[in-house]
Amino acid sequence: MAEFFAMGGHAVWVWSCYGLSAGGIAFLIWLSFRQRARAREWQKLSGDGQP
Amino acid sequence: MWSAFANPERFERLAARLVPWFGWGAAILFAIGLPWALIISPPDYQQGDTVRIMYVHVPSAWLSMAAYAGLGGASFVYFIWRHNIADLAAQALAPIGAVFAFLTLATGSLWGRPMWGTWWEWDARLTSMLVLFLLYLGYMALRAAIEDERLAARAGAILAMAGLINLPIIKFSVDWWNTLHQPASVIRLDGPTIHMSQLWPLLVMALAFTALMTALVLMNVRNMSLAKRAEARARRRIEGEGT
Amino acid sequence: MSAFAAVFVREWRLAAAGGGGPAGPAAFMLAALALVPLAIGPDPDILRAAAPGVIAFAALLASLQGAERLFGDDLSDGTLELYALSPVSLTALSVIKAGAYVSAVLWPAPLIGFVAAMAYGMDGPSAGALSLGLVLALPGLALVSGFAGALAAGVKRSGLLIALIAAPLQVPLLVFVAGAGRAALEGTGLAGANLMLAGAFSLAALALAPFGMAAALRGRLE
Repeated sequence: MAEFFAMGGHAVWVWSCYGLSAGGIAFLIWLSFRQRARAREWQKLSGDGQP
Repeated sequence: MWSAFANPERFERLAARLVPWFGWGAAILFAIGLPWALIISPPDYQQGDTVRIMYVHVPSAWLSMAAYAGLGGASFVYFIWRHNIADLAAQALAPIGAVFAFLTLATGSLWGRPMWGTWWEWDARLTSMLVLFLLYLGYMALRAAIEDERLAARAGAILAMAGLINLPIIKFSVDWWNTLHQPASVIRLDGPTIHMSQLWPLLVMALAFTALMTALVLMNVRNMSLAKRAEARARRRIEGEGT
Repeated sequence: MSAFAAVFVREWRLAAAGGGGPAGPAAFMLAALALVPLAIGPDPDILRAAAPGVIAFAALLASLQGAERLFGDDLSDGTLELYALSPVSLTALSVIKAGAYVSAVLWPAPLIGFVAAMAYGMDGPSAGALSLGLVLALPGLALVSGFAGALAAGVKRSGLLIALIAAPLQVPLLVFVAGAGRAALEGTGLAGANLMLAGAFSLAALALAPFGMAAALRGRLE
């Protein structure tokens, strides 16, 4: 297990890349859900309850 | 063919049905691809475990370029046929492409540190990616600067098409610049030496990224379309009450 | 006099007289090139090696200076709407505007480039190649700046936006002009190829950019 996390001595580089990518993807997913919340908000304001 | 997607309600229904497929498809592909990339695939005989960076770096690069192609294509459809869904697709693709271009640069830099011994090498592909990132920033800045929505959509479409035409020329010029002035000692990341044991996890990861992007784009376009129509309805209602 | 010629004369006079004409970008380029040695030090070898790139870059920045005024003024005072009604098409108007911009405002750039190249220690023929590269690149630089100016016309404080839009699109010109100077300096024999590529980019921009500008302007007028 420890060997897996050590990545042959390159742990810093490999894990920071995967971490950054996960962060970027999480940001995009967050943006999408914010957009969805906004769409729901407008639908509520427009008066029809259907999603 | 395009008219089938031009009807916003029909598109919204189609997107609502497709998003879960692509979303869960992406989740499953990541569940296969991540262990394959991180554990099963062997370390490279030259690069050791840093080669695992490739499994996020290359899909990011591929997506950032595919997103720009999509941005240009959607802009073209919007510009010629004025289909609002195409403009929404362009609007949805821009931030996604920009984020993946940024990730390509960041992971490329982090890969370069152990491999080349520098954080940043003015290598042709990293430099082209930097220009692509700037193109995305310019597109988003232009759209943000113009208040009138239709005008912003039009100007954005024209810029995206110009960028798409110019992109191969930029790529060529950067390659040209690089071969002329770069000492040849740079270690190339590419080359024909990619082994099958690395190609398969790379393909799975690329598919996972692509499915994820497709799901996000469809979801965003659907929600933007819903929001737009609901906003119009809300405004009509308020104006109706006002009189 | 045909409508095309009349509009060109008007645009040329306005470009040459308004806002200091060629003085603005020329002074900007001179100032930039005067400051560079102060920034990177007086070592002649470093200056000579840096000269082609620095000069091409300064010319690129100078071409962005006037882009804001190219269409912004005509849009805000309604001249553009009159042009749209005139027999000169918006596409032709874009070509005229870019041509007037090069011939009335940007023309000192190759001269300044030549003088600066000599001052930075480049030899005569290399400085000439660089200067010729600037001549060939100026139409392309003006057209791309004008394209960005047309897209950003009517936006408040559009200067920064124009720079952000135009700069990445102008990358090939920067590469080819600087490449011509550097190839001549190093004697790699590729100066001619670089010059031809710079000219080819300008021609391609001439073939495509006016339509983009016209489309952007049409959107503004609707």
